[in-house]
Amino acid sequence: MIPALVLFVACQSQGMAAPLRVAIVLSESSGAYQELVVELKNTLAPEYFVKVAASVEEIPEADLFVAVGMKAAHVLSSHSRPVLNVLIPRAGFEKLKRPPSSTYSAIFMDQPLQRQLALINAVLPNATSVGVLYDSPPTELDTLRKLSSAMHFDLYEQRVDQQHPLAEALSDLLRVSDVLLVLPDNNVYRSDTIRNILLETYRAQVPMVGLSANYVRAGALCAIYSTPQQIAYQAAEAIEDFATSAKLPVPQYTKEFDVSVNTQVARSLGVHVKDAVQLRVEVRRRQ
Amino acid sequence: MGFVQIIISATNTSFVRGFMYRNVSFRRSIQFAILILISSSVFATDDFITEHSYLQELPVVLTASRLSQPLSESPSSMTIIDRQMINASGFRSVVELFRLVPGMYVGNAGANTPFVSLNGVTDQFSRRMQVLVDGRSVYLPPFGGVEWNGLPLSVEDIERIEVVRGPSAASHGTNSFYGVINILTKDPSIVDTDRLTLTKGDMGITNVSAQHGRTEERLDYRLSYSYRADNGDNPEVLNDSSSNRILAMRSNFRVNSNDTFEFQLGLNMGEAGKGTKGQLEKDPFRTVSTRNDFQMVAWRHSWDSGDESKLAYYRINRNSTDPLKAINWNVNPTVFGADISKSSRQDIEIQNTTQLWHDNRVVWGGGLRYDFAEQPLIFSTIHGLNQSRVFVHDEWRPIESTVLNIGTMLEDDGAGHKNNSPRVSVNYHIQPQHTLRASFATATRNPVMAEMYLTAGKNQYWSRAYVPPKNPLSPERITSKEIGYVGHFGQWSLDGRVYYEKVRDIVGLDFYADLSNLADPKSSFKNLTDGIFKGIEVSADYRWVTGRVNLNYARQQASCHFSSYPTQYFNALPISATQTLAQMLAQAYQSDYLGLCSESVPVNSASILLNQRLSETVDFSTGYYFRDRVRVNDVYSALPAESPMHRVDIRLAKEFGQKERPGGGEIAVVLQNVFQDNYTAYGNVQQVANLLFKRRAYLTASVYF
Repeated sequence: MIPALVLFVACQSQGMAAPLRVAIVLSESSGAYQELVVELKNTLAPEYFVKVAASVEEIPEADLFVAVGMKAAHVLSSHSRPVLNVLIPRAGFEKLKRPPSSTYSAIFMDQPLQRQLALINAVLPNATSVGVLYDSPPTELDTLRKLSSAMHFDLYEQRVDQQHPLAEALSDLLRVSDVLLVLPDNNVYRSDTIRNILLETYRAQVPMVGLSANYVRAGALCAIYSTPQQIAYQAAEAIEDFATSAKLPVPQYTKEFDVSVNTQVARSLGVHVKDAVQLRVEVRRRQ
Repeated sequence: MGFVQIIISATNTSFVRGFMYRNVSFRRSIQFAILILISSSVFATDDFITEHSYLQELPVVLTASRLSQPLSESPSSMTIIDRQMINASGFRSVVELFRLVPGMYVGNAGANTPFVSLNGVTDQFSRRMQVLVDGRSVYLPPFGGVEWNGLPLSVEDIERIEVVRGPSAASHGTNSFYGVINILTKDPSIVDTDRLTLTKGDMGITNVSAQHGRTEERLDYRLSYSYRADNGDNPEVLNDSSSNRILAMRSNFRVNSNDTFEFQLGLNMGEAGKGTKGQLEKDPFRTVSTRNDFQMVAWRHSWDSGDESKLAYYRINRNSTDPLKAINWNVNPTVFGADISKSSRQDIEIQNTTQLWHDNRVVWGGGLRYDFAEQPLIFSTIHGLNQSRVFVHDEWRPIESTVLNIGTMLEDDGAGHKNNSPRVSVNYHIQPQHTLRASFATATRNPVMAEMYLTAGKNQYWSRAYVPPKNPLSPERITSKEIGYVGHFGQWSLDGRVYYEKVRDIVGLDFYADLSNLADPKSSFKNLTDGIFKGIEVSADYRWVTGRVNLNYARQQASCHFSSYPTQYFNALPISATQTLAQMLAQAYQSDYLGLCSESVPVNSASILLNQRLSETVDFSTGYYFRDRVRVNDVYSALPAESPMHRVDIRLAKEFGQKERPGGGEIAVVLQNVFQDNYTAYGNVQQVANLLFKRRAYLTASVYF
């Protein structure tokens, strides 16, 4: 209720200005996008005039746009109106043409690397070597290298290319890694490759830290991620900030996150893990 | 279109043949990519990351049933022989790998007739263990043993072997009596290369093995052909040469992310020498031909809850022809005839893995089986048995540190026996790395067809020497109590157990079953003895960056007594001035049955397998195999027991090219029994009882395409 109160005060001070018109533009209208919209609408104070565009083809008039997903972000990046991008990874946001500003910002859906390494620390306290596999070097590789060394991890990077096809690159990497950290890569981790990757990690008895709850369901040991609800909540805060100050917060990661653990995989690998709630607390403390 | 080409070629660079597939979702992502590209060129040169990496649906890969129970939570002691150990051992036959299992006996009734057993009181038709290959039970009617050389399986195709030491009917079904050998072949989804392996060595050792494997979008398959031959160990005395041609196919077809079909086919055409020098009337030199084949289909379904169901059907089939079997071997002159045998097994089973709640999962199901045997030389009629079984096994974790495994199998063997084989075990994690296990397990072994239905009519093998059992045979029953430990100390993995097993009603051949003609006693299968087997087993495994050592030790003791004394034991008929029949028989029973029982296990046995990488491309391994004196149950007191074995094998391998990739390969030399330890092997006739396992060497070259 506090944001709503703030908004009320703000509206008062601006002399009963017209309600803020927020247009939520969806890249797709499936599951996660809808969940985010529903949660965002529920969280936002009722004073806002909220319109939802189910596709990028029909963009309504508004004071603030919320672009949900890369496709919408891309289309709206050519706009000059204020845009808050959500449900996009940081790497995607940084590739957009429009530079961040007080009217152009984002809430990233991916997790800061520090948080992911903190999870590895919490789940596998004895792990000393972290393996990453990629087809094209991720933008955050330098950050990962620095963080790894700061957190006393040996980082093993393995590139997939013609000389090192995926199967071979993976088995080489697993030989030296205590844990495989998934970095998003469209050419490595896909629904049709995940099967062999997971089977190979299991064969090598090397746990995988995935990108989402889906990874955990598929057979990764654990993952840290933000749910559409958590992203929506933070987006609502940003929108309410914007309503009072006409400024968006700087591009940022989500404050809230969840941890999922596949206990069956953990047991089978002989890893004794704490439960997900405990791990979340621990990650929060460590980061 | 230019953009389209850029994207596709960029993606192609990451293609591993078959490892990544062009499938629907791939096309979808291409379309999506094209859409973005057409609207702007900003991403044209990058494999950009979108939210799809985080939102994509993924199939459940590591399903409940695919995940093995960790050793620390298993209800029984288990030994795992993995690919690295298989390579390092240098063994070229499946059976020899079991030297790496603590307490397991590996014997040879001739080089072409190997057999294995845990615990004692076995004969060369060792039939008190369950043997599974990819879930398919391969011990065959009518004798119940496993014809190891006849399996449509080559060592190169094995991914790993799990050996359960102790009864495990609740998890592994009928006949999981002394233990279970569970052989898992390479899943076709990991075989995406072609390989040719050639082996040549002493004793006429010749192996050729070719493998072709592909993984496609929805289909994986592996085809392998192998030819395996040798002249036997001591061909001038025991004709134990063999040659086998094996063809095997294994394939997975993924209908969707929840349903997978698995198909397997196998064929083994074999020729094996038979015959013993100086036994012209009983066992002349000849060649026995056999054909073993199987077909298997399984359907796996993953439920959205993560549960899994599996429906599997298989059929195994064996035909063999011994052209010159001695019939009426106990009369003169011997009559010879062809021994033609046909046997088969069909089995259908459904198995479900259900997560009841978060700390409880249950594996349950049932199956039907039909066993068939036709062998005119030992059966006067064709025999078929319809068997059925249901099983349930619950794994429950009432508190975090404790796992309870409770299960049973109920079965009807189709021959009038209904059995219940419960098992319960408690695993307590003293600390996460240290686990104690206490278990109580039971199992039954139903008499096999040969024991129940053997006939001895005119022109049959046992003619005039055998009478069918007077009383129907009862199943043998084992109860096993065990205290075990599984733990880790740094890089050391340790596993140990102390066990006490009691077997009731062991079926054996009673040579004095029918004494109506004292000069010509007749044998009969009988529930003759009870046995007690106790022992201690320890395994340790230590790994370092460039090597590994695996150690096993077992100390065993066996003792037997009569469950009920044979009636003739009390026959007061005087047979000489000083001896009654009972006195004579008591002596014979005491020495040949009870006395030899304790010799049927080696008191001490051990193995050490050391593997060390000497350089980037050179791999060295050595195995030491030790076993005390032992006497298999059908080696009578007049014959020498097998002498102690201290055998050392070494293997040296040089790799070239990329490991297991086209152009890569390996050349290895294996030397077995390096120091020519003169240990004798199983022999139940004088001529073979003193034969030695000679030192031998062979060279193996393999190359990948």
